[in-house]
Amino acid sequence: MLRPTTRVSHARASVTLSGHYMDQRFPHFEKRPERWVMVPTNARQRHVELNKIQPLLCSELASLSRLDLKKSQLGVVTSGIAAKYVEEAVMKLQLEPSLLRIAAYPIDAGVIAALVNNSSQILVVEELEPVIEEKVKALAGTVEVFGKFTGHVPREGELTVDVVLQSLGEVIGRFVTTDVPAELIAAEHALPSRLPVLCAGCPHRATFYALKKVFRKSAIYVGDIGCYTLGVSQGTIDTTLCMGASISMGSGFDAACGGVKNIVSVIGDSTFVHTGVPGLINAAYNGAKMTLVIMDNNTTAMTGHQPHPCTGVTATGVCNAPTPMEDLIKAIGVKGLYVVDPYNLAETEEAFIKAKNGDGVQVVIARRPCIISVKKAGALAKTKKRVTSTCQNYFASCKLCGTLFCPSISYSDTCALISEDCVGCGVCEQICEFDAIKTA
Amino acid sequence: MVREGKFDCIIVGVGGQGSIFASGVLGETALREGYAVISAETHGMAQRGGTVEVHVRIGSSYGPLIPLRSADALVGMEPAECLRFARYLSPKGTAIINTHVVPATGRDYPSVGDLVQALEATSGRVIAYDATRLALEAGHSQTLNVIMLGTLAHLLPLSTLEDVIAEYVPKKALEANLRAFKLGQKVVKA
Ligand code: SF4
Ligand code: SF4
Repeated sequence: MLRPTTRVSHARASVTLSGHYMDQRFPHFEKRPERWVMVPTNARQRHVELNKIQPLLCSELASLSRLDLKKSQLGVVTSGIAAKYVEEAVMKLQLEPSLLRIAAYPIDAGVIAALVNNSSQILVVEELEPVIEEKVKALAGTVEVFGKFTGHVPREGELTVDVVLQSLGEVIGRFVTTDVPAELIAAEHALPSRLPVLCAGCPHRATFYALKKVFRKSAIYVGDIGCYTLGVSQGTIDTTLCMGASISMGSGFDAACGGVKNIVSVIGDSTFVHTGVPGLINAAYNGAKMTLVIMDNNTTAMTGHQPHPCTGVTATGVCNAPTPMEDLIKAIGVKGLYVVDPYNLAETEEAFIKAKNGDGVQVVIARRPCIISVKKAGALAKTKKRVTSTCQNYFASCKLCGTLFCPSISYSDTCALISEDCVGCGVCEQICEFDAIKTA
Repeated sequence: MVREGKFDCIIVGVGGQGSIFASGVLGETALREGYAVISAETHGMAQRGGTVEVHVRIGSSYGPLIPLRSADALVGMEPAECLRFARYLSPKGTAIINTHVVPATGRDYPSVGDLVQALEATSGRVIAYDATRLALEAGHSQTLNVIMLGTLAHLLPLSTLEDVIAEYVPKKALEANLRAFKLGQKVVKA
């Protein structure tokens, strides 16, 4: 069982593949219904089998764990990425504890017992919940066990070498301190923050602006996972849970408070084809009253622009006929379907008004490619827009264009400024009430 | 400069400045020259605008995260971001800092002079210059990361960084990037 902690998932390293992984494989499937068809009679028997193989599994996996016994009162049990932090920390402390690196679950009791018999104190260092620690505690007898339960290892947040140094220090009563100079800490605390924002010219920004204008603050905006989660700054994302939840939770919200609140679900095109479709069938069939906005930028932007079935490119990069999004939605039986260009605010708002007043499930597809894809394709026509100074006096207090949260818009004391990296989407021009932003 | 064939480096910047590309090229070069390489990145969810932090460890057998006050070099594509991660730089380490500001939100942006001073007071050496201006001189603002790699090069135990960069950048941007690497190198030669 692989425990994918933050640092395992967000690290790269040189890896040597053993020949084993490059073996030619010959697929075959053996028909054994009693093994593969989990109807209750078979499942009951499989449960017996599963319990039977546990000890076998334990002893076989135990050979993957590494136990280095040393002449030390202290034993450290660790696993995964945390083992690397422990190695570096004991090097810095010039400490030689016995070290047990657990490689797999279920954990073999024998290997823990071997460490317990050799130690009078044990520190358990693991990421996430104290799963290993619980097992060690159960087998430790009178040997003291330190870790997350005793507060020696923090229960939340990511482990680092410095955190482990502190944990070890508290157990052995000796510290290697790394003093970050106070002036550096002070300077760091005074820094402005830098939160991620939608790109300049991101079509989502325009969609959110129109959405907020029509559905107001009072609607419940049920969000999903993608760049558009950042719509939270525009006040048009109220929840984000897991992929597809925007639609299924949306119909749940409608069941709970429909009629009192407008329900707006927001999902991206790739998330929609990934897990949105079953939720939409359920909502439409069971008669939910809600608006679904599909923010269709023709890619999976957040994770690095992977294709999906509506793009016409397969997972291996081969061209294929795209899954027809509109046909799919119509076949599901929604009551209204509109396709708009989010850069055209008037058109987008009009569709939202119709959806708001319509029956049942209404779907608005806001379609415009991700600006990064456009840039990568070299297709960005640089039509820069400049703020003219004719309305200087209003700007200090107006800042209406600021509600777009476009990173290319900033303010001086007297007026709005458009920076270099503006892509000229023209959305701010459409919202300025003083005609102060013009396409040059 | 190098501790027995080991080099710990932190590259930071704002999303879109190419910190991850720079770390990838650095790691690839080290790998080809026979070093073990491990790196880790932390960045926001959108493509642009957030803080990006990459740890690169060359010749290390430990985990990817560099402990506090121990990095040999800190490369900051943006001054405030550089200071945000200065706590990782060793008191003997070198900070290479682009003085060109990318505006941020919330508190007022501190003076770049103060930021550089805070680094100077707490690290071995600070190389501060307007790398964005140099990138424009090279032909494109996107070559900023290669400018900074050019300056970092003299500290590294590596000799083929320029070749790997040439291999990794898009063909049409090759000339500008090679110019950028040279301009970055000249910052320390001058
Ligand atoms: S990557 Fe694309 S979808 Fe994501 S914020 Fe940028 S423009 Fe928008
Ligand atoms: S036109 Fe306006 S909204 Fe669009 S990218 Fe430029 S500054 Fe931002």
